[in-house]
Amino acid sequence: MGGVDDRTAIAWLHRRVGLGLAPGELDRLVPLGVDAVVERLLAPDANGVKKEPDPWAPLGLTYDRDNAREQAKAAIAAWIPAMAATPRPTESWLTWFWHGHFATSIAKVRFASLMVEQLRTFQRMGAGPFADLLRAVTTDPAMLVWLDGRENTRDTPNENFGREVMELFSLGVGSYGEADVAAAAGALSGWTLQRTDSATSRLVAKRHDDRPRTFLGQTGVSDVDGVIDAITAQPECPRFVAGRLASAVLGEAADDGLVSDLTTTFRAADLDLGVLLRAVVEAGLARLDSRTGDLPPVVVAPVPWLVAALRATGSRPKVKVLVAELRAAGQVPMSPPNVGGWPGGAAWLASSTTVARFNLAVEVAQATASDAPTRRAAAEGPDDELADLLGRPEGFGAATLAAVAEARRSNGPEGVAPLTVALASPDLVVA
Amino acid sequence: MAMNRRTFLGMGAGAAATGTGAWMVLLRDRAEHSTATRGGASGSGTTEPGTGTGDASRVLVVLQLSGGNDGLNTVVPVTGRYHDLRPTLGLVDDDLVALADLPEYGLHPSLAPLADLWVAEQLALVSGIGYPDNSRSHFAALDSWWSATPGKSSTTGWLGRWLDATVPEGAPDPLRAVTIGRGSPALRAERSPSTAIVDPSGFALATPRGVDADALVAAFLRCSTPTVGDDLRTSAQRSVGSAVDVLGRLADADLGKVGPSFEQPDPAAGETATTKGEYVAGDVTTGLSAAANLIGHDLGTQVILVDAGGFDTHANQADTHQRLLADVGQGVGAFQKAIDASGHADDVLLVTTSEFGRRAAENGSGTDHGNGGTSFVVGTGVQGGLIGSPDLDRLDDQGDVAATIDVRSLYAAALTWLGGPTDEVLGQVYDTHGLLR
Repeated sequence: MGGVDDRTAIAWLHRRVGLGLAPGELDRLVPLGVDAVVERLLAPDANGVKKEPDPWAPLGLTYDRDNAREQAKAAIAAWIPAMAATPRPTESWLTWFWHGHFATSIAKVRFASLMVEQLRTFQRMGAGPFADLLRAVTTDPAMLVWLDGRENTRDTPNENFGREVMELFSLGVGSYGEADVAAAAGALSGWTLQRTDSATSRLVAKRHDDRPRTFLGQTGVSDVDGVIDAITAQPECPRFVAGRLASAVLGEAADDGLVSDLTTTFRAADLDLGVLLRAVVEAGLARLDSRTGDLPPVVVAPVPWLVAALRATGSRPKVKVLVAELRAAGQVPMSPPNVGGWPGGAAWLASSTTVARFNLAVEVAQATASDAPTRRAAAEGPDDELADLLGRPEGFGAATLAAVAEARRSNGPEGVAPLTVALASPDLVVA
Repeated sequence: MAMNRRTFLGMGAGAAATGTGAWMVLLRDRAEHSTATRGGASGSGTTEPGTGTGDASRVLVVLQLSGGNDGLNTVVPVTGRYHDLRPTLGLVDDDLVALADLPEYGLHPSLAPLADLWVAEQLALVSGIGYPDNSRSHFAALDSWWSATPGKSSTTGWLGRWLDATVPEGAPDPLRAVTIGRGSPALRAERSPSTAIVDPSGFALATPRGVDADALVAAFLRCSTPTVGDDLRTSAQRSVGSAVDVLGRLADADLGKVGPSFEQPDPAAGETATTKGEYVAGDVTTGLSAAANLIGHDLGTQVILVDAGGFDTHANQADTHQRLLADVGQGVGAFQKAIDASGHADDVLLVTTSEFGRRAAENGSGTDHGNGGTSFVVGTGVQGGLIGSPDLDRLDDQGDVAATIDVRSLYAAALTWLGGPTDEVLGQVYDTHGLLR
């Protein structure tokens, strides 16, 4: 006997490798069966799933210093509703995941035009070979600004990217030495941004130190390709990447044994990210489907949490206000605090974040149409329908049910108070 | 703003004290509600034998300069070798802030507000601080500073362990330790919660139009119990109760309000940026302003962490560092004035930390990660002076200023200030180099 039914499994998929569910979406997906839904999520092209529209194309982003701030705000503001309406939940989720992994901030990059190019790269290449993705990120214009790659020249080497690419992006601390950092810096020197209207980068020969070096045990490394080849040939590389992705999706269930298995699969597939992601999802579903039918919970970060709330309610409050509260929550898209990305897990349960989530819930609930299914279910019940609409067909816990019931007794526009409480409840903060 | 936003206690300043809100009754009834009286660590009820009990009136403020502050351009040696190493980034000797009785060094010009503190012997400069085997990676170095267990990962932070060792009787108080900014791993503890306030001026619960604030908060609070088991779900439930509790107590502290010591130049009063110095509203100034407000309100907070970012000056250091240190000088100077005005000057010790210093030699327009850095220790309880001195003729094998003062010496002084314990938290005894009077 399996641990959970298809409805619960499909909802779980949309919580962990998706960005929530719209009203009625679960009803449409359940008859397809879990396997078909997995295919649609992981292989949208092959399954005729509508393409993701580009939210930034209409903005006409430029390289204009004078309105860089306005363009940055507009780009961030465009991304949030786009995620909430995505026709490709896993592709969209994966873009967000890589954004947290190769954490680059618009605070230093400045130009939205560069930031969105990086995000488009994640979208295009996020489920392909890891070596290709890593190579693209290494010469990505926004990354060259962020980690000073464009300052790295033969005469003035800059080790910032050379260190972080190994420590944070591909291998982890302890898998390289200081000499490797210096060698990487040398081999990667000379890249700069094209000074035209497009976000492209190029290698300037006279700024490039092309002396062959020993890097991670490989001799004769003198350019990007050599660096990427050497990194991806390290045994630590697939383990590091598999561990990151598995933890993000499976939380504590991503123990050493599971990560080992995933690493083997990933390596055998020449570090193909699509294969890895599929293996992670299958591991999660297998565990869900097992006798106990549970998986350790993970804390949902503020942005994916908000996106799921917007998707479930259909609410579209003023994005400016949402972004202000996301700042208080500690997570604004395109603005990770540093190259290590956002801290995860229990760090998102701090008082500040809890208060900000409540305030976001107020915004979302207030702007939800009075005839929207979530608002009607919040106002009159039944509670299991409300939970189902908010992505939890397994229902809310006792404490949240009591909270919603009490909120129904308060005044104000129908359904707003109970919907606020439901959205802000711990049941949706921890998935 | 689209919504009616106010502190839900903002029905009048007295509401917090009289507890007229319905949810306040809920809070009083909840066994977990901790008292708002100071400390409570008066020798009774530490849950673990410790060598110290904590001194309830003392406050420690830790100002983290994230990114690796360039110590060599902060406390500057007046030598030729310095200029050899830094032909472009080297600061001109005449521009440095002179340090009375210490002609061999000067402070970066942006730190002029600290000159008075030096003269009053309330400023100690700790130079060449770090760990023997510094990693030069932000994350590994930060980890070693937060945990005080270099080379070994730890689930607790040094201040978290202190909190656990001094936790008073009754429910642990999340306001004993506060971070202004994101939560800090230095506060990771086994038993002791802490509070992170990312935006001091926006820390309040909103109310939808037409909805009764008290009733809504009371309903929300119901999410917090009953809890089942002890996993992340339970932690999320507890965070609801904790957040509401904390907000209630902070309501009167008005953290976001900029006190007179921190104010920007007022054009109406004829003040300009130049008459008041170049005002920089950076992380340090805003963070220490909130810290001063918190201290002034006597809510039982004993540890406050403020995080200021941007010190990773690989490129463009001259301008960036000048601006960052202006924020430090301004913020620390104003902070001391503010706590003096509220009568807390003798209770508070402020220390600065940074995960490493930077390379002695410049590299282009900036500097790379180095080793030994510089910390400040500020307060009326400080024995002013210079501890450690970078020997530019004896840089370490990577060309960096050596780490000759262990970070844990600084921490030992900080923990001693708080009334201990020290060796239990740090694992052994460390020389505090006479930092405290």
